[in-house]
Amino acid sequence: MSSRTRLAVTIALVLSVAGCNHRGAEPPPTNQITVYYSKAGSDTLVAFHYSAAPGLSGAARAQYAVEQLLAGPLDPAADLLTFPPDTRAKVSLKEATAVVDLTGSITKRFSRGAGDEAGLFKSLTYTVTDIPGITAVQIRLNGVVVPSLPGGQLELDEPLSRTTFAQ
Amino acid sequence: MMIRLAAGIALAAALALDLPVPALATTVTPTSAQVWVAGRQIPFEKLGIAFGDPVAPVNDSGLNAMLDQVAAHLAWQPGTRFVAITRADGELITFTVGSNAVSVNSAATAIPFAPFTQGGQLYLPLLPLARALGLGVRGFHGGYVFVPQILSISSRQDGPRTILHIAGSGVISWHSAYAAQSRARTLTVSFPGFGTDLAADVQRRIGLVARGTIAENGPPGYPTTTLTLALAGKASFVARRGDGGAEMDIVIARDQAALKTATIAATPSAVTRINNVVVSATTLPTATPQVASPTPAVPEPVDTSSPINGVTTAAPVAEPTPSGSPAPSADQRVTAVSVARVPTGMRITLTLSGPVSFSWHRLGDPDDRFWLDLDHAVLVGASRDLDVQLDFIKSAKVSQHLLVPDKVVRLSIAPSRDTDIRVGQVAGTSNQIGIEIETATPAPDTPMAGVGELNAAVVANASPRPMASIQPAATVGDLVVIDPGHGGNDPGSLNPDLGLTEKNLTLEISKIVQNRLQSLGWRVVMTRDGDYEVGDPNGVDKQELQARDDVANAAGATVFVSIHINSSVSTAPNGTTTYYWQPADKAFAQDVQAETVASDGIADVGVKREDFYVIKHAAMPAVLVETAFLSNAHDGTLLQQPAFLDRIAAGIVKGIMDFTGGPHASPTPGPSP
Repeated sequence: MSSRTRLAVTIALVLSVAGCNHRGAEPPPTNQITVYYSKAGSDTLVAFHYSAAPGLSGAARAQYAVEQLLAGPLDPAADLLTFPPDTRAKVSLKEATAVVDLTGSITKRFSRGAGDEAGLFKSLTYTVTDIPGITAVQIRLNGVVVPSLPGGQLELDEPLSRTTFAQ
Repeated sequence: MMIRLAAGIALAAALALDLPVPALATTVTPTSAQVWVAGRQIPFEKLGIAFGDPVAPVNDSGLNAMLDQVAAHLAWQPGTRFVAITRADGELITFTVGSNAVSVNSAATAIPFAPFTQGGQLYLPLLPLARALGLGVRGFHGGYVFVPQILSISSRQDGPRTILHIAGSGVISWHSAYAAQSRARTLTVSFPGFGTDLAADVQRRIGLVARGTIAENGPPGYPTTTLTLALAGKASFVARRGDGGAEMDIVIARDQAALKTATIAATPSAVTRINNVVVSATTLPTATPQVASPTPAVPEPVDTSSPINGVTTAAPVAEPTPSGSPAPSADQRVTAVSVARVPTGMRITLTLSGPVSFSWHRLGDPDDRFWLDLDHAVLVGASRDLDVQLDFIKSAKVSQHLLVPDKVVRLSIAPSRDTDIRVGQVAGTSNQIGIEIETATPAPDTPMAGVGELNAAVVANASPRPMASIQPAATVGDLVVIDPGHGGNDPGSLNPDLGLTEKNLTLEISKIVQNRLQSLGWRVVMTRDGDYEVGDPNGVDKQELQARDDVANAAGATVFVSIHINSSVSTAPNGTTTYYWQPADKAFAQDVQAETVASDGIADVGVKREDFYVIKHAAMPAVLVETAFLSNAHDGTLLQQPAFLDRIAAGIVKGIMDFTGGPHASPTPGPSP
């Protein structure tokens, strides 16, 4: 789904949160998903609530949320971290763990710093684990579990959860 | 050989005429840098630096010791222009005074500068020499590490025998293991101290070998190359070293009879020294322990009802896995280690929680060491010395030798003379391996190595104690490991506008840190000191990151600091950040962060806890410093200035000093690279 298409189905509730707290936010209705973006150079997450098709659940809901995340934030000037534009993801569920299989240039070489790397995977983890029943995210690159991104620092061969990023 | 020598000299003379001779006033600056060859430090009398590279006089005892280490021989007559070096494989290397080329068996290669004379001494450049010797060249530990290489593997079928011929650039020693999993059988031959540039898939199907792969692992200064052969069914094998020691043959056949009749004439020269790798079929009798283990984890079971058999000499060759025996699989525990007197000497008994594969190796004079490795095994309790009460045994030790990639428990024995050591399963037990140290001197044909399996199901009397934590290498109180981030084919972050690359900046800062620490009395090990990968350049990133941790863990460093330059997709973020993972390392991160920010004067982003591989898998306090943002205009401009890099380095050093209180004299000698 492109950003333009997504705009049509987005409800414009943008909320800044620190860490995983939805300070002052009402819980979104069940036909909504929440996509988190990390702010560059900080630990802050910014939450965007999007409408989702009614009845979506489990892997399909996670797939939709990840596609929204990869499409990038609505406000590109907000200094929010985004995955490289050619990144694609296929999401499947293995009990409470979402397996997110990434493809694209990110699987070849990551040439940004550790802060951006941690921020990106923090946003992905928070986005996916916001879906009821999912508590962890196992990253794969081109179908394979790897210890880290090429050139990266974050350990990826174990599932990521929100506690991974707890300070 | 004389013809070859003459040809080499003639070629060198031609090269001397054709190639430009540098007319530079050569200055040799003495250096205390260490030189390591094949894992051994080589002391030089007059090691120096010329044109930025190490040089040594041709008659320096260190140069000759370096050549001895790889079984090469140097011939030079004072007053002549030619230095001829014969490699272990018989190839001739020729250097010529004034010629910017070295010839290896008549093939010329350009070198950065020519051999030269100064003060009546003829100096040879060490790096081209090492490369001509087939050694891998790696900078390390403020010195130079030359690593022998496995150069080639060829194969042929000789009747019922499959023969693999392996050539190295030094005297090959090996360590073999055999594993049977269900119907799959794998023969693994490891070459400690050897690296390799061979492609991973080194052997296609031939005879009894279904496939062969090769890989290099371990620290860069002392890697291990492992050849893994998938066998097409049951097989027996012998391995033999060729003349000169730089070649070996692995002979594989369906049965022992075929091996015994094997006549090998594959090597260019006659095989004059043969060490059979023997699959041990030894069964040792039970013994009543007379000497208690220093710290036995559990009481050792003793089956006194078993007959006391004579010690059986290892059979020449046997199928290592008796039919129907359980295949070793999950990691097993070494629950007890005991020492007992037996009629022929002393026996060390290892008690295990289940079946394991093991291999052992014994060196001959003058290095008489013995070691036995238990694969997929974990030692309960700490590594410990054993008192074997024999005056010709200098030391005996059991330790957790490896954790990655596989768990290996090693029993090592250092005798002061050639010693016969027999290995076998203790009779009447299903979970004990006995290692008997004979008081009699061994016969010349005593086996030098062997492999086997403890033929046991999971035993009922396994230790009920929970597995103890694994002890890392003993911390050395005055040693810091500095890890310059990225390198080689991984440039890290880039700022093309400023002409800056992360891997270069991290190395530059790290070298300043190294110098500053050394001036304060620290010994410093750098995971890299040039532009290269610490691990296998073709390997996955886990190897690269783990290789950096391997360096620190093997050295037993006091602290580990990984140095990086940050970058973001946004140009706004700036400043210094220090990461830690283990909660106990937070104080270290805070010290490094506080001092670095105080020194570099840029924004204080703070300390953060992140699941970063290199700091998670280091066995000592470890931090990763993202010193400044390459993507930020302010930080980027500063990163162009050497003074700023020096300020960063000074801050990191102060942080290390704050946390550690400074270097503490180490009771042990310096670590191997």
